[in-house]
Amino acid sequence: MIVAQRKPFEEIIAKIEPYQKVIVAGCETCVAECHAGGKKEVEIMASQLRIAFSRKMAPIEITECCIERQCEPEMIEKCAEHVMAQEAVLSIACGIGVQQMAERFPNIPIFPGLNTTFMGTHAKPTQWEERCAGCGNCVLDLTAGICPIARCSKSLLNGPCGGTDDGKCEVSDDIPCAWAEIIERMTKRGKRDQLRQIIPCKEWNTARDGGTRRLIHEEAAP
Amino acid sequence: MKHIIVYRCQQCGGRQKLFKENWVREFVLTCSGQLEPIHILRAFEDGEFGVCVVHCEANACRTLTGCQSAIRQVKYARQLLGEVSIHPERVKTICFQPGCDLHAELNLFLEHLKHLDAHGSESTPDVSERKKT
Repeated sequence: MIVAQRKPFEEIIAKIEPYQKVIVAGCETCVAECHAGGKKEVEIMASQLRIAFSRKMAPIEITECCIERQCEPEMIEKCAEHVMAQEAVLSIACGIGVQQMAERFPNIPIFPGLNTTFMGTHAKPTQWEERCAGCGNCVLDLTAGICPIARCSKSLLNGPCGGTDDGKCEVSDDIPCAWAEIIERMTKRGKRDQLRQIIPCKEWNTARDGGTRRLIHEEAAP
Repeated sequence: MKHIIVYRCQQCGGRQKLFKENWVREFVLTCSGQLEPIHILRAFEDGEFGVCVVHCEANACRTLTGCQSAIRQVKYARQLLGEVSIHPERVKTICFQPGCDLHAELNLFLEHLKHLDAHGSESTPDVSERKKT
């Protein structure tokens, strides 16, 4: 899922202050799972904004909506009429949702309420961790299902480096060494010898460095 | 008139309403773990005086973790209120124990809220319109 976290409240307030009709638009998918932009968070954000602006005696009308997937144009359409009646939108979806809203409503200012952080998983009850860097050339079969690009601080394809210490990364004791985990898992599988094969340099032209990526599925044409 | 909103677990004094005072609005919950931050925020959105959450002791909670959840939700709500310049002490938790005098506790809380009103830089907000699609 895409993991995001809320922007500082003062930053949000400063951005929407000039407007008198604002809608808080959430997304019921990834950002709801990471407790950043789902229905509950929309209610909390809207409530906080109402309290903050009523204390400033500023006349503002805050409304709420939550879209099932804000990255899907068809789903945005369900609340289009309501959004078009607003002066501004505070989108608490990921960056994709914010851009999709901006594309659908080009004349309405859309403000992001979240900082989109990474693609990750719910690792512990209160913790989300990065799992995929979207490099476009997956090597997980070679590394026991642990991504060295996203989870090794140096994105090493052949590790570990000299900075590993008792299974931890030299960057921080909180960060497990991805390569120590890869070796441990391969050892448990009895496949540790496979790690003696050098993984060749990746083709990075599939990664972000090549500019905006596109994917075309001709068979998906209506 | 401003009220103190009381969210009380039914295990802490029974299912019937305990408070007859006109400055109290009481909500009896089947478990304090049902409480969510939005319930606390909406009280202040409606211009109320303060919120009091009455929960069981940790080893007496019939849903095992309900009271711990309530404490976590109150902590989060206090943080959210701080962001809109409402004093976090306007939300109080009471851990209900045998012999606990809830009326006395609530009166103390009322006095504390009056003190905050008199000496604090903040005050409770006006009622604002709530709209939802």
